Amino acid sequence: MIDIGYFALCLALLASGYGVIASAVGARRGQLGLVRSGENAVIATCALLTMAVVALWQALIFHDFQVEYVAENSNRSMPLFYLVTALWGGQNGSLLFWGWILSLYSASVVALYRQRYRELMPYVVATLAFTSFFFCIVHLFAADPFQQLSFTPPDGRGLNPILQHPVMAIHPPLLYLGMVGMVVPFAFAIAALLSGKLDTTWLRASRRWTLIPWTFLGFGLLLGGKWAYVELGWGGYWAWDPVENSSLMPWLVATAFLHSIMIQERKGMLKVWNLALAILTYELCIFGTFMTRSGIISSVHAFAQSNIGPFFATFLIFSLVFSFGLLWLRLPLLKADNRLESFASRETAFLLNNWVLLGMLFAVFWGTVFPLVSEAFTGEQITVGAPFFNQVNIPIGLVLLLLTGAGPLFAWRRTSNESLRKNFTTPVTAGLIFVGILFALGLRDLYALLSFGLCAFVTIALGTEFHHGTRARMRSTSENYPMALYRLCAKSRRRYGGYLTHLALVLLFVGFTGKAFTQEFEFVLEKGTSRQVGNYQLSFESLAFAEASNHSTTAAALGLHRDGEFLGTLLPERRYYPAFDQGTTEVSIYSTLREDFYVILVGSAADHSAKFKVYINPLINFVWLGSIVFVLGALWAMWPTPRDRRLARVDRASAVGLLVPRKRPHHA
Amino acid sequence: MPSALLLTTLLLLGFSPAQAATREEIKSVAEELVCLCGNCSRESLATCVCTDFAVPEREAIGSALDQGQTRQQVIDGFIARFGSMGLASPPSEGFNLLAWIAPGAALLFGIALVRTLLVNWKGRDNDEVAQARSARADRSQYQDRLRRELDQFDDDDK
Repeated sequence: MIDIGYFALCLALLASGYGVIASAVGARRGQLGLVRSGENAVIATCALLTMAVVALWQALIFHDFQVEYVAENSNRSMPLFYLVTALWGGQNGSLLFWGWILSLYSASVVALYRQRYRELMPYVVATLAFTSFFFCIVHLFAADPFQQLSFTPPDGRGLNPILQHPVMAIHPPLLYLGMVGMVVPFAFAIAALLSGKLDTTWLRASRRWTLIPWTFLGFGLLLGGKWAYVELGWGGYWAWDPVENSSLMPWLVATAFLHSIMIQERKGMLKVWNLALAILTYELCIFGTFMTRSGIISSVHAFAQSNIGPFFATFLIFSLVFSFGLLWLRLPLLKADNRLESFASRETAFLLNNWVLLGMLFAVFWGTVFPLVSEAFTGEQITVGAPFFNQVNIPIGLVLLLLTGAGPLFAWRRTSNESLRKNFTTPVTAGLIFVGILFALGLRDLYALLSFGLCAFVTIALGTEFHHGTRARMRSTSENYPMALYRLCAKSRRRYGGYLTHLALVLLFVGFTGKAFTQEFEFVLEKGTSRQVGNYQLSFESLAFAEASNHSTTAAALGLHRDGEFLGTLLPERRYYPAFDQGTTEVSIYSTLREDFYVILVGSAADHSAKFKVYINPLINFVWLGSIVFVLGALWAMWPTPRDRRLARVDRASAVGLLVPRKRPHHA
Repeated sequence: MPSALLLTTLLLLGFSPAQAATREEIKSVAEELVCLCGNCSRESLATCVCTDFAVPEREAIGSALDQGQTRQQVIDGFIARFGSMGLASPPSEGFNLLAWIAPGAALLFGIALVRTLLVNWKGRDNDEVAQARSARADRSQYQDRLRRELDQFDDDDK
């Protein structure tokens, strides 16, 4: 099976290489046969990589320890579930997984657009196949997942214990689906540039192909936060770790892209900018993978370090030069079609949104790479940690939050002073009243006041949008309120789905702001004693030791009471995995919407006393609530509409005789 | 089990005398520093729970504060022992000042760019717009018209 896997990789390299050449030549010469053959090569690449992935899964599940990857990342005691997830538990496997997802995306695009976007498709296929080609080179020459050992060890090392968590089964795949998916809008951007078909066609194709990975990436990031919160045992969910940053960065740019494409669709403006954003998103995904996987910056996520660095660096530089060079060559074709009518318009709001998102991107990028810059110039090793990122990003984040509510209050083209006053009065008043109440209640933290005030402002602003729309609909139809609201949202999915994600951002910010009020305690308790912790009483009831097949565990049983009422038993654990010489903390959490009571067993002594660390994290569950609303909003916005189906029919009907781009004169 | 013994010793160290420095004081110093145990990725010293570095170091910060050292002295002491990478954020002096200035500078540059763009857009006359429109890549007239009609028919992306 292993040989089949390796052989499949070799064939995938050939198939994807052929796909690039066939599509490019077919497009240039206008030969349908070649173009189709290039598309088929993409499907074949997908089938071959699927075979390689199945081969590696087979080796993992049936314990073929002669394969180095299997010996390094699994062992006999692991349950089937973790054997399956071990595919992305280590370096070479996760790169193969990356390449496989890439091929799945590519094959889906090819299968869906056999009769659509014909002028762009050959170039799209060439770009997708070229990325696949690069990954096949990495699989074969830098990170071979099928590398065999000269002997067969009796058992493997196993999966890194901190990865043995159910969330880890979905968090990496979601992130990969997000990072890899950004290749599709990039491919359409490159296709638009290469073919010279620079109208909004490429945007129409790209919007949903951006929304899908954008949703995966956003949800993956939040889920990663959840994992860090329950598994890493430091009471937080976001550490501004280089790897977290490297997935956040493409998400920020993709968010900017999703907004700015609306300006081009409606007004024919920002053409260069949108192409640049699509390219930048993709490059950041490659950069992120490069950073995560080459371990150039120290991180919890850089589980393995290897020689893939030069491969990625070369590819990154090549694709940057190629894409932006191409964009530069096409500049004369990319003049804006319209003029701005008023500064007080949705257009301006979107530009500001792009400014804030890109500003945040720069801050994150700069903080992430600054240790390298500093070391290169001063020779001194420094750390750029959470305090830096928080100080820089909190103010930017608050401006973003403001725009989340203010943007939708501006109309396209121009907003009259009167309607501005009308739209802003209620939300601004609500925000100010809320800040006043919180201030009266004794809240003095400036950022927290600002953040809560803005949250109230945005909620009311968006609530009013929904309400006014619904009322308008009720006047023109005989529908009741809920029905009118539903129909309104179903009629304009993009708009109201978008607003829902804005509300998700509010929930997230409520959760983030709760961080300012975290209380923490660190103390030693003797068995049988209890202690007041915040508003809670914690009693240490027992301590137990156990040996499992691959780890030893110390667990404490703690009774939690508040005001004499028994709330539950908390069981924090501390585990030790000898195979990795690594200890892990299994925290125990008593969770309510108001706050989490979060206990870590720091250590225990032979006399049955133990040291605990407790965090009381107010409002943290709003973060998880926000992630659910985020996904719902995104799904609502991307769900196909009757209009999409009609457009697809039009495209197909008009594609007859146009399956291959005709040679066209270039307009200068 | 030597590791268990070590753990116990370290914990007993931590158990020792009641501290005068409050948790908040220790935390505010530890937040400026990172854990250098090598297993975590330089997590904040205030939150890391590794027993071979963060926990004893936090205790050390507590006892240094008890002995009357100032915040800055404690931080300097930590840096003297472990090097400048022990600081959680780059010191705002010398070359590292660049870390702090660049994001703000980028934002200022960005807003200037946005302003220029908006002013340019607003100032365009209709001739330029017409010119740009006619320079657009051609596409099927039929498809174009149909799409426009569909857009009017259905205001999905209003």
